[in-house]
Amino acid sequence: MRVIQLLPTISYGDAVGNDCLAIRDILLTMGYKTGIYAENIDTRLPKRTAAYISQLPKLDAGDVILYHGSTGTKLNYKLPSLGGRKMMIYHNITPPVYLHPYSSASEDLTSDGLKGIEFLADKLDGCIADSEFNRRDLLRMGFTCPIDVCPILIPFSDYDQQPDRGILKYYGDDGVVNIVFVGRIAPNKRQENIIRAFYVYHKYYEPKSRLVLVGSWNGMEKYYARLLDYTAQLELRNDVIFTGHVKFNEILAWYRAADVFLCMSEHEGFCVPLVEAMYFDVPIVAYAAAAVPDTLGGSGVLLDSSDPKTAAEAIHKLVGDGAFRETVLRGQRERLKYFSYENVSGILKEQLSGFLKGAAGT
Amino acid sequence: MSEENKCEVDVEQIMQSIRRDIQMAEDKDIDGLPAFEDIPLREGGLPAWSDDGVSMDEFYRALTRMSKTCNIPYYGEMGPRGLKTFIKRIVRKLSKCVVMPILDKQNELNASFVCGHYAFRFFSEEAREKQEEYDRKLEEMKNGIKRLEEAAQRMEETTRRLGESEQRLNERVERLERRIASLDKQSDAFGGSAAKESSGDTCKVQDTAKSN
Repeated sequence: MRVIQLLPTISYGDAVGNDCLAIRDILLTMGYKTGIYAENIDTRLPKRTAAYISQLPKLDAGDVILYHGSTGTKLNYKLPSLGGRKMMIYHNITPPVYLHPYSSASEDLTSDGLKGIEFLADKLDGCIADSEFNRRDLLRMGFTCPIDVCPILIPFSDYDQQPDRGILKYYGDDGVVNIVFVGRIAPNKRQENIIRAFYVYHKYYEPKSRLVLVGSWNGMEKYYARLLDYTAQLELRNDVIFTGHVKFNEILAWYRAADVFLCMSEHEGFCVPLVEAMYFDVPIVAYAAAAVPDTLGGSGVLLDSSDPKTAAEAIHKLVGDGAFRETVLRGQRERLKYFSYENVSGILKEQLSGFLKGAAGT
Repeated sequence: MSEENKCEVDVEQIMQSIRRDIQMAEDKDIDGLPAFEDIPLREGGLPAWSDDGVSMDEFYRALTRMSKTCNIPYYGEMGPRGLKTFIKRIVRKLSKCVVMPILDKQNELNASFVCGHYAFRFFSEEAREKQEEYDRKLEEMKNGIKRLEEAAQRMEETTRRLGESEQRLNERVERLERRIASLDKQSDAFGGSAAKESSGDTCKVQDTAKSN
């Protein structure tokens, strides 16, 4: 029996790509013959990490396909015609309504993606969702197969690399409160609400503060331009940093320099940066939307609205009240244990074993 | 470990405390805060210049995309078999003599652009390597200066200790000189009285000799 992973694009360093590679490693330890096939392969990945879809061998009824559903692609429609049992690992797709004003290409891609996922509702043998939110999404789309929930596998050992010394030197210890968010510049992540919350905090609580938005704006140039204009109108141009695409060691440095991690996303399928913030012991303030409450699991400070005053007050309490900060961090450290590599790989092995044994019986 | 491992911190209590603080903070008037929705969309996206810059990785990826797509092929997939596709193929064949020369010139221009960008990439990499080398040399020089400063500090310390030793030696020499001087005085005094006594005895002898 072969267990093949299929996905539209395998990128270097993103959550789906890392998850795919981690699952490959688990399958190898379980003793299965496995491989990764994609339509697009990031050239930064080591050679022979993945092969193109065109090289996919003919699959038998006893083989298994693990399909990563995360975007619009013809693969969604091609999948049922491939041999073997099929399981989808659903990472969620951004609703097109968020992308409509900024990129018709992205809007079309996500719209096609959602239609493609809905097409698969009665054609799969099983699903794994990254979060309870994603599982509910699949149920809402009419999925009838068993759906398990398993968080994304995060390689925490990568985070022990040396962080960028320049960032730590200039921003880490200069007496300025660093409020950080890590994530692509994308409308569903509502960076404008992060800026609004920062405006209130900066104006009424701590003028010696800065907001750092770590993430690339590739593909969302119009949204990024709008954020720049908004920042200028609020007279925050010198206090808000848009890093753009940065190297991994720079991301590590920003986490280490952060005093608070602020997330106001309205749509997230899992939100890996929340777990990363927990790992770096940065207290989290987050708007309770989509999968954010699932990922936080009761830790951090969850806001029931995106009101900037509430967020600013929460940040102020975390920065100024040591006991409160320590209470929140204790909760986060406890929650982080759930996402440990050992725990998540154990959950995944259990879920995959059940599914693969079913395949072996066919 | 199951999903039941959720933390025990009372988040609701925390949120109630925050809401109370906000109600008390009436001075934070944000009614005039501009709405994001009022910011117009720039149709052209980013301006031609941007003080946020572009990272080298983005530039390299754009360059890779350019080199892969710079050659525009004349022949390509026209669609599934059918009458429409057949007609498209005929039109393509007939217009080849007109379109092909224009396409060749465009492809030549595209290739020149890509070559120029690769040359720029080469120069920028060279400049970056030189910059890194200068940074390394600067670091080495700083380390050298630091070592010299430490050596100078050690020499100062040694000089100070030698000075203290010299001072102690000088004090000892002075004490010895004073001691010698006092001993000299004593010996002078002793020598004088001994001479007096011996001269007294001589007189007695002389007087005794005279009386005999």
